[in-house]
This record gives sequence, C-alpha cells and structure tokens, in this order.
Amino acid sequence: MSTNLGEDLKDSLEKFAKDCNSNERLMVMNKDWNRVIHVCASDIKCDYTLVSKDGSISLTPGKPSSADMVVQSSAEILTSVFYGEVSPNEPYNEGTLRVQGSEQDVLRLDFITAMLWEE
Amino acid sequence: MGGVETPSDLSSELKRTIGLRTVISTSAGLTFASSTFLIVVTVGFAVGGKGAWLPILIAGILCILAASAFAELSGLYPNAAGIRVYLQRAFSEQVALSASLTYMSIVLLVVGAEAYVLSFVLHDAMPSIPPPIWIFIMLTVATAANFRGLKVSGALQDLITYSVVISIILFSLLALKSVQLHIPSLIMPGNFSGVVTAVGFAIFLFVGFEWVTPLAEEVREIKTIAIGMYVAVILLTLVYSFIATAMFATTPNHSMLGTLTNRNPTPHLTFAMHVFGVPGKILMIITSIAMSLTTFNAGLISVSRFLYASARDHVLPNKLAHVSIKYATPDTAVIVVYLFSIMVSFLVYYTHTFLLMVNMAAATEAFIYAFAAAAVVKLRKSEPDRDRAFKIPGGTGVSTAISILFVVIGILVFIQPGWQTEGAGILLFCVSLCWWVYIKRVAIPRREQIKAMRSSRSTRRIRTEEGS
Repeated sequence: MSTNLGEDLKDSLEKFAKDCNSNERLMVMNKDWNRVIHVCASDIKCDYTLVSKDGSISLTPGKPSSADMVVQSSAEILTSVFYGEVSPNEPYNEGTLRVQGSEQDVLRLDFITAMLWEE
Repeated sequence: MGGVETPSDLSSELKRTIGLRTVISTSAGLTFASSTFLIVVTVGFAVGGKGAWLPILIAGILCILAASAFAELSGLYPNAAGIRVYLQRAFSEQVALSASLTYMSIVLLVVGAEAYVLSFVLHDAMPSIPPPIWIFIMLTVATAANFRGLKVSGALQDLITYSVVISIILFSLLALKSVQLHIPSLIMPGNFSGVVTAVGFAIFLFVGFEWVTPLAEEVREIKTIAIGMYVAVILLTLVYSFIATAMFATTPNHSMLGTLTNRNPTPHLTFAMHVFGVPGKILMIITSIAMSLTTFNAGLISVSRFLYASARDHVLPNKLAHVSIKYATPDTAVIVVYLFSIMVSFLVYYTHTFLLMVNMAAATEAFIYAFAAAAVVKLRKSEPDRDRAFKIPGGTGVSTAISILFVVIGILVFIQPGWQTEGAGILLFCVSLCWWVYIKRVAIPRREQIKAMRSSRSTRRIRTEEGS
C-alpha cells in the first residue's frame, strides 16, 4: 500500500515538474526564484526534493541536506495537491498540509499552483 | 481530521533565519503608527490627563493575556494563515471565514485612518501640498512598492522599530526633564468608568502585535514567537505610558485635542513643537513617517495577500487570484486594496470620522482576542494530544476568563456616549453580518460545487490509472 502511495506521489511530482517546465509564463516568473524544496510524506516516510533553478524545476528522490522550504503532509494529500486535484489552500487552511519556509516563498509556491491549474 | 505529524529531523535541515530580535521588532513595529498618538490623547482625556499611563498599563496586561492565546495557537498550528486556521480548527469554516474577512475589512480601515493622519503630518512638513494630495501620493507609493513585491526586510524592520522606540523614549524623558519630573496628578486617573472607557481605546495602541504569528515557520525556535510577543507588548506599554505622561505633563491639553468635532490629527507634532521647537518637530515628523511606513507595508501586504488567498480558496471572486508574471505578486488584489484604502482615507478626511474607525478597530481587535482565547479552550478539548510548543498556564479556566474579558471590553467600546462609538458598533455589526450571509449563501455553496468538480477529476485519474 505504502509503495503505491509512494509511486503515486512520485508520479504527481514528476507531472508537476514537467508541467512547470512546459509553462513559459511560469518559467519567466521563476527565473530568479532559486530554491530547494523538500517534499515530505510523513505517513509513509517518503522524501523528495524539488529544485527550482533559473526558471525550471527538477525532481530528485530523497531529502536535501539543506532546504529553503519543507512541504509536509500525508502522501495522499500531497499527491492530490501536486496533481492539481486539490487546491493547496484547502489542506493548508485545515492544518493538514504544512509548508515551512518564508511567507514569500510559501506564497510563490501557491502562485505556481494557481498558474498551472487556474480555473 | 488530524493535523500533520512533524518528524523530529526536519527542523535541522530547514534554513531558518529569524531570531528573537526581529520577532520583537516585527511585533512591536506592526503596532506603531502615527494614528496611535491621537489615541494616546483620547485615552488621556478619558482619565483627566496625566493618569493616562494606567489604562495603557491595564490594556498592556490584557494584551499579554491575549498574546498567550496566540502563542499557544501558533505553536499548535504554525501557519501563515494564522487566525483563519485557528478558528477553522476550533469552530467551523463559516466562523473562521466570517471573522477573518471582518478582521481584514477593519485592517483596511486602519490603513485608511493611518493615511489620513500621516497626510496631516506631511502637510505640516510641506504646507503647500494639501492633505488629500498627500493621501493620494502616499497610498500610490505604498501600493507601487506592494505591487513590485517589496517588503520591509527583517533588518530594516529592526532598524525602524528600535529607532522609533529610542526616539519616543528620548522625547519623553527630555520633555519630563524640562518640567523637572514634576507631574502633579500622575496617580489620579479620575473615576472608574473613565478608566474602563480609556482601556477600551488603549487596546487600539496594541492592534497588530499578533501579526507576527505568520513568522512561526521562519523562526529558529517556535518559542521565540511567544517570548517576542510578550517583550513587544511590554515595550509598547512602556513607550506609550512614557509618551502619554510626557505629552500631558508638558503641553496645553486642549491644543493636543482640538475640538470634539474637529480633532487635532497631529498632537505629537503639537507636543514636539511646544517642548523642543522646530528641531523637535522635524525629528517627530521623521519618527512619525517611520511608524507609518511599517503600518502601510504590513497592512497593504496582509490584506492583499489575504484577498488573494481567499480568491484562490473560491471564497472571493476568482479575478482577485490573478498573479503578475513580472513581479510575482497578486496584482488585482493589490489594486482593489489600493482603491479601498484611498476611499476610506478620503471618507475619514471629509467626514471627520477618525474616531469611528478607531472604535471599530479597537472593538474588532478585542473580539478577535476573545475568539483566539475561545479557540484555545476548544482545541484543548478537541485536540488534547497534539504537540503544543507553548501552553497557557492555569488550564482552560484562564483562557475562558481571557475570552470573556475581551468580549466585555469589545462591548464597552460601543456603549460610550457619542455617535462615533454607537455608530462604530452598528457598522461593525453590519460588516460582520454581511460577511456571515455572504459566506453562508455564496462562498460555501460555491466552494462545495468546485470541490465536487475536483473530486470527480480525482476519481477519473484513479480510474485511468487502474485501467492502465
């Protein structure tokens, strides 16, 4: 079960990175936003690292040695968020998604999801 | 639904940069505003002048109790959305959204009132430019900075806050020295009802100290937020007590008040000019501008970001969630906040309703503190095992007492004589009711509809995966 959840999370993050890298507007907005983001599924103890550098996003398994932000929740919630099925605001305001980092970085991450999946 | 468990090894890897000094300066700095001097004078007049320190001290002690509630809540849910999350976890989405939208509406009024006061300060410095033009210039400049995503950094916040503290303490001590520390009725605050009235006003002097809680995810140690708020409130109590005593001990009281229908918007300049002459007035103008800078910055940024987040959450119209690619800021929300601030400032300027705004802000703040303390009680019962970095000593009884106390203070603000207090009560009730009805009838049904759409999208993904 946890393997499936881990795979789902990995797929969602890969799709997220791919979507970001194919969105020209996002790449322009993020060209100066160089950050290391640790994504942590606390229920299955699974970690991934998203790196935003020069406008593009890359994904690597495992946790970074030093992060600018930590995005933490259950694998199910993280998967839904990175697939764009759930607005991150929803679990964030419910307290089930925790985003550690500066207010401006937290907001930037939300801008990214808004621009990817705005309705 | 439970919250997020925190693995113990996470904190070691996250770059955290904010220490106690900046938490104190942010908490105290957010409350500093040019408009607070009008409140100092209002408080002083309610207690017959030189006893102004007493209601300020009482308000400070009450705000320390409120700070305890925020310290417990921010330790429980370290989240940039602050009060909205606390109330949602403790009560319901309806309560959380209605209360936080009402709160943000009032913050907008505070920004408008602040622009009104600062416009007179700048008009005093450059009399050829009338206050309405200053209002327009200041809000346009502040909005341009907000639009470009410029924010007062931690280091600049430290510099501004501690400079303001030193400046006001120096003004106070030198002014008191000029009267050989002779303050005849220092311990005669008048009758009991005058003191109670003044405490209600004095709460306004502390408005915003709790806005430091969104930094909970940026501080090196979570307890820093609690300690920082306590130190900031103590610092504010000292600063305002000193300046209130100095102003009333040295300056003809009625020159600071003006008339009841047309208040002197710059009593601090009247005081500085009377005691120190032109050099003192120039220094006070600089201090006043520094105080307003952080108010504009924090107020405009907080409200515009809150509007954006609410739009993203489908509570407010989607247009407010638009993002500027160039500056990475919520441009539409920033412009809406700008237009409202201008409107409020001109309204205050032409109708002389500064006190009405202040009364609304003071009462709203008291009710928000009451809500926060009530949320502590509720969450102690509903989530007793969740980690708390800080706990209010004395169990739920103390939190219940804090909550009741602030409800009483909030109500007391409205039962003073004068249309600007009664009017504030009616207006606040109307604003809250409008948001309550809007949330219930429009926002929540709309969100449910969108949630259902998203859920069907999620089901489709799962089905597709199963199929493949």
